Amino acid sequence: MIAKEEISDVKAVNTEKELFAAIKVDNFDRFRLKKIEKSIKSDLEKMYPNHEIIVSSDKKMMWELEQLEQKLQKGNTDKKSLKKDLNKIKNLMKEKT
Amino acid sequence: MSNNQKKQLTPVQQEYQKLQKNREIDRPVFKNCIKAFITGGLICLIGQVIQDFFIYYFDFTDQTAGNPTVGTLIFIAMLLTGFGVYDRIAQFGGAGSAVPVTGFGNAVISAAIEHRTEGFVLGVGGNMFKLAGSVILFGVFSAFVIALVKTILIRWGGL
Repeated sequence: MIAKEEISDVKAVNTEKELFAAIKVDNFDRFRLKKIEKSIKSDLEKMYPNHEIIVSSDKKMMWELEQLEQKLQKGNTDKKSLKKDLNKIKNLMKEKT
Repeated sequence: MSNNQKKQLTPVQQEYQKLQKNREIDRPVFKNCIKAFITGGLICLIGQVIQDFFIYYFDFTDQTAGNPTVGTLIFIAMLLTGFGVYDRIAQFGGAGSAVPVTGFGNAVISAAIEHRTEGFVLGVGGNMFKLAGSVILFGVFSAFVIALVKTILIRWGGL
C-alpha cells in the first residue's frame, strides 16, 4: 500500500471484523483525494475480504491511530478499550459539518 | 479620465493635469502584491495552526474543525481591531488582510467604533453591519439560489 507514490505515510489498526487505515496524501495529489481513497479502499477490500474497511485521509484519524498503535505496541490495552477507541473514531468519521 | 471630460476642461486645467501626471508618484503595484501575499499567507498559517490545535486536542476532524477555526480567527481579528493593531497590519498588507475572514471581523468592529459617538442604538447598532451585513446577505442569498438550482436539477433534470 505504501508503494503507491501519492501516499507518504500510513497508519493502520485492525480487529477481527474491522480494519482502520489512515493515509497521508502529498500536496498536489490531494486534488485527487477522493479517487485515491476509493482505490485504496477497494484494494484493501480485495486483500482482506472478511474485514470491514474504513479508509480516511483525515488528520484526526491519523493522529488517533498513531496513539492506538503506540498503545498496542506497549501492550497496555485490552480488547474492550481498543474496541471503545475504535468505535469513537468511527463515529467521529461519520460526523459532518 | 475619459476623453469626453478632457474636452470640457479649460486650457489651464489641462495644463495642470499634465503637470500633476508628471509629479504623481507611481503606485508600487508589484511591491503591494508581494506584501499582500505575505500578510495573507501569515494569517492563513495562523489559521492552520489553530485548526490543527482543534483537531489534536478536541474531537474535531478535518471536516468539522473549520467552523471553530473561523470563529476563533474572527474573534482574534475583532480584539486586534479594538486595540488598534489591525489597522497597522492592514496598512502594510492591504488586501492580504481584508480578503481572509479576519477582514470580516475588522469590518464589523471598525464600523461600530467609528459610529460610537452617534449613540448605541442608531450609531453602533445601525452602522455595525454597514459593510459586513451586505456580505452576510450576499452569502445567504447566493446559497439559497444555488440550493434552488440544485434542487430543480435533481428533481427534474435527473442528475
